[in-house]
Amino acid sequence: MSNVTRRTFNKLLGAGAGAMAMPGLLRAQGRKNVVIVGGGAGGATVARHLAEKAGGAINITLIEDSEKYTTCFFSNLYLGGYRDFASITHGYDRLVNDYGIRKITARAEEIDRTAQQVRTSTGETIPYDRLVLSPGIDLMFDSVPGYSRELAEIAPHAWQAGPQTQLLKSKIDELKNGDQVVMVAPPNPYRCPPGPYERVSMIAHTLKSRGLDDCTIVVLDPKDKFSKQGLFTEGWEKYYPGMVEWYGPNIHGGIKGVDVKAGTVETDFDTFSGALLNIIPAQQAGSIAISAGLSDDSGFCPVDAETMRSKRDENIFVIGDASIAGAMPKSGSAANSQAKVVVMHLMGDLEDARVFPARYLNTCWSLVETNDGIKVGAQYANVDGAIASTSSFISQPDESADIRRQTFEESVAWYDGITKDMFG
Amino acid sequence: MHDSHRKHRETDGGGGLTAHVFRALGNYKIWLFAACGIFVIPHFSFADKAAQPPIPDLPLGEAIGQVLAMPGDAEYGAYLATECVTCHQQHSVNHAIPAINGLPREYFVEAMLEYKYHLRDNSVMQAIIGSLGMEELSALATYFSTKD
Ligand SMILES: Cc1cc2nc3c(=O)[nH]c(=O)nc-3n(C[C@H](O)[C@H](O)[C@H](O)COP(=O)(O)OP(=O)(O)OC[C@H]3O[C@@H](n4cnc5c(N)ncnc54)[C@H](O)[C@@H]3O)c2cc1C
Ligand code: HEC
Repeated sequence: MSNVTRRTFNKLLGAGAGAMAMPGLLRAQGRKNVVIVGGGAGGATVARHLAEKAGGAINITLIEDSEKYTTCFFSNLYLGGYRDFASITHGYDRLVNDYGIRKITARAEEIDRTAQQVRTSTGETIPYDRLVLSPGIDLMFDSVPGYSRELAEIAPHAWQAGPQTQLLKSKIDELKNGDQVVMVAPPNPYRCPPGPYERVSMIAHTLKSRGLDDCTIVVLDPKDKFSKQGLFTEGWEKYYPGMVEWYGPNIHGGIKGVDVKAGTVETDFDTFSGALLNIIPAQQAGSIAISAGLSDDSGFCPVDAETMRSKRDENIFVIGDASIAGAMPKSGSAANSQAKVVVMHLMGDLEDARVFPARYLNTCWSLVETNDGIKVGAQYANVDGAIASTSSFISQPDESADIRRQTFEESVAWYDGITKDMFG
Repeated sequence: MHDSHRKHRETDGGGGLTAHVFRALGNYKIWLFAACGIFVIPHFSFADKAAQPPIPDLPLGEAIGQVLAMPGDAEYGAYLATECVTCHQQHSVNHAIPAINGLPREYFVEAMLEYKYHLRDNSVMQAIIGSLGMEELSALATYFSTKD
């Protein structure tokens, strides 16, 4: 829509003046500049919805490192063989061609908050009136002694989707009967609280369907409880009896370190060997948010509950995994919801549009076994300066197979919806 | 590798914990205080229950009438709707989440309130309506009824 408007506008002007020079000039003059760093669940949603609302009145620049975005959501279903890789990978073509968004494929290297500009790895300097950061997470490799970025090529984390996810899948496919998989789960806070446990289910599903029932999956967890625990453990008992062993800190006593080449994880209690190690380290906000001075001691960025504006800089919004969003978990669904609050405030700041009380939403679906989906979710609002839950739901352990199938089908429709909502 | 590892665990003295015990009781169900050798088999707290407001006292028919009598602020509705369209696409491609653009106000309000009154049981929609007041519902009804 914005594209059509802009084209028509340019054509009208082109009739009288130096047609070639005008569009660039127009871009520079008058219109406000919004720069978005990160084209994932948060950033792509801001780009698309802002373009729709602003209808060409705002210059939108999306700085994203990758040509294509592979969603972490449903990457476990790819591991389980329910999805192919292409179906979880999305391009930016429609955002560029249909929504008139400028996509720069580069890293944002530095943010100059005084001059209000972003420098990219391709050497460009992009000025902004408002900046939105949705850079996701950085993995703190050294939170697991012995692990490193390089060793992730042998023991994948697959907690940022893409080649890592494909590597993990190929390693799962190479397993033989009797092999053991050892997962080191991440400490709080991390992206997608049910994610590690959905992954366990999907790995078990793959092994079981290949007849490798003597395989085991050991989860060494730094947490003493986890998201949807009752539902997952019920599912593991029902579908994968004897295959999954979960150890909390009360049992393993602490994860001491990993020897990736030897294929072992050492804990206080014992040393665990695996033919495949899946190490998911601790996490912090994407480094660009930290180097811009927007984070606190937790490694994540404090934001205003009503607007998602950084508490350190009123011209910058931080959303998604990088933000401290009160009771909201770090999820694609949460990032997408926060993006909409930000778009409303960008339109309020720059175009004097009306603003309304912020509402937020999260839903996290997980697949335990074919047609057995579970879900958890909540609505949130600004309650006395903090994002707090106002109503919620969670699947129940005794639900019928029909409800579980319906939940799985909803999750498929949700995936379809959220990726269209992000990429057009 | 697998076997030797298991054996190692079985012969591990100290806490007196064996793989057999783990297996017999369903490993992930046991929390062990290794130091003092006490087993605790927890009830997983389903503290994770849905938290939704109680069904209103006002009879459903009256609630529908009240919402329909409100003018419905379409601009407010447009903001509120941004949340809905993540799931509800313009054209429904998957029956699990129907399209809601163009639903008549009456149908829309009644459907939404049926979630609030638990006459429809989808828990996602129950939680969503649980945080929407009458003004919001009326705004959304106005907005969606004019979309195609
Ligand atoms: C296994 C797994 C399963 C999951 N399942 C679900 C699920 O079912 N439902 C759900 O809601 N969530 C799920 N999640 C969580 C979800 O993927 C994240 O919470 C979500 O992607 C966060 O969005 P974001 O915008 O903050 O970051 P991201 O989506 O990670 O996007 C950040 C983007 O920024 C780019 N970037 C970072 N720094 C720079 C820079 N300096 N310059 C340029 N570009 C940069 C990155 O390349 C990346 O594309 C899952 C996660 C995992 C790991
Ligand atoms: C997380 C996904 C999700 C979100 C977000 C969501 N819905 Fe729904 N909605 C559903 C599902 C799933 C159903 C089907 C439920 C059922 O079978 O009863 C549904 C059903 C409905 C229906 C009934 C449609 C009919 O044809 O009877 C209406 C109306 C509706 N939703 C409105 C909304 C509104 C308004 C919002 C935003 C405030 C919203 N929904 C947000 C998932 C969602």
